[in-house]
Amino acid sequence: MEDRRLILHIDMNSYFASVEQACDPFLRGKPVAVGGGISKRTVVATASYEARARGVKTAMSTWEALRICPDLIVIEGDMAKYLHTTREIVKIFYRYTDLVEEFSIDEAFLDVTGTAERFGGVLQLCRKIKDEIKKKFGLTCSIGVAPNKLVAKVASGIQKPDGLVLIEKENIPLLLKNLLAKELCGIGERTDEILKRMGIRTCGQLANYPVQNLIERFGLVQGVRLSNMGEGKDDSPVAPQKNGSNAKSISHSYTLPKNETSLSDVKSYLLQLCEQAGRRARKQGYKGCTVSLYVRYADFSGYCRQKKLGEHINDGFDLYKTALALLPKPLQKPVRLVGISLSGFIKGIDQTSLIEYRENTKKALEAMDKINDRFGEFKITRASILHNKLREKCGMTARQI
Amino acid sequence: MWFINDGRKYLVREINYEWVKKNGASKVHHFAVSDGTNTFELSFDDIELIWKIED
Repeated sequence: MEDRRLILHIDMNSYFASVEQACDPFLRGKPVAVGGGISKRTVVATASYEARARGVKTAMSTWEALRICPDLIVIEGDMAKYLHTTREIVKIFYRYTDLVEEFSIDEAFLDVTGTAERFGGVLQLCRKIKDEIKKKFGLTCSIGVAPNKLVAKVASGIQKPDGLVLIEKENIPLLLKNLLAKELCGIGERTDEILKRMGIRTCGQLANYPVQNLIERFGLVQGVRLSNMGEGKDDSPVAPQKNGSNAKSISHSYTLPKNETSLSDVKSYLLQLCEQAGRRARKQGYKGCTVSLYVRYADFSGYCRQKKLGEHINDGFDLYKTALALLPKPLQKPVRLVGISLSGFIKGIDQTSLIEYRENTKKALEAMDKINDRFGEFKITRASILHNKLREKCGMTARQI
Repeated sequence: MWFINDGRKYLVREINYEWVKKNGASKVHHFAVSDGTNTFELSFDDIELIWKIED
């Protein structure tokens, strides 16, 4: 199957910054960074190519970015704008194939094996997609074409911005030979560290490493997978998400406006995050049984705890009670960031409880959800979170609600 | 199309970008526009039927 497949990886170039430059012609050609606005505690989510040329990088603190590029224009991100643009761009993709996998807000895989000829071949199809995106939004993208998703993703990164790179099957070994293994999607920092200790740095070395040794170190599934990755083999299908997403977890985190030492303030933010996660879970029809709490301290050390419950929940307050039990009391150090995650989902199952107060709570939540659906988020919420700053900061934070 | 801001009339010469935000049941249509010299963000709430100058 893999021999004949034509897989595209489409990566929007400097996405958030490019959208802002498209909105405002006076930003074009200038160093622009999009993030949480001008504050010492925010980071750069995306930098324009002009800013990148000056050394500004993604995830750099805004303060650091402004230090190395004093004329940097810092813009507070508007996630609704980017999500809307993504939805419209995905509609363009569906005109060329129904096999579209949205990989992230600015990346997608397309399987055009069965449709490329209709558009005059795969390269012509890619040019049409690029032209449509450019014409409608003024944005550019880089497209990688390859027999599988793994290599297509590598290919899209070769030429930026506005690239189009086709990798034929016979050229894959040459492409991967000296490519660092960590550049492959699916090899994270931890795996890379282990591989390095085994003397493997490049994909070529990974491909030539005895698979049996990889199996011994990583287990059967992961060992074989890594060996295949080194050879540029990947038979994973392009999985469309058109019929509803299959989320594995719902997470929210927030960098506090200042390092907090007060437990009550941290609890207030935690409750807000739990309410957001619960609201999202209810909207998508999920209930989860695993709650994870993450705390990052001012010295950047972390604390992570997880609890598996005997029941599935989607009430933010139930989530909060579990998370609160996981929170260290008293706080060990000043807290910089707090995060919550709900996972272990079941979908669409909602049993009537025999316990009256549970049914009443469910009805109250349904009523609250209806009000917020009608009048907008946070129109009705818990009084104990009214004073925290997170409610106002819903651009980059509460985007998924 | 034109609008008045701070007593001055601006003629919309170009719509640079459009997007939609949901606010409860309302769809708020946003337009990044320019008059050739200045840029503005206008919005239109399709339930309240209100135009706003956002930025």
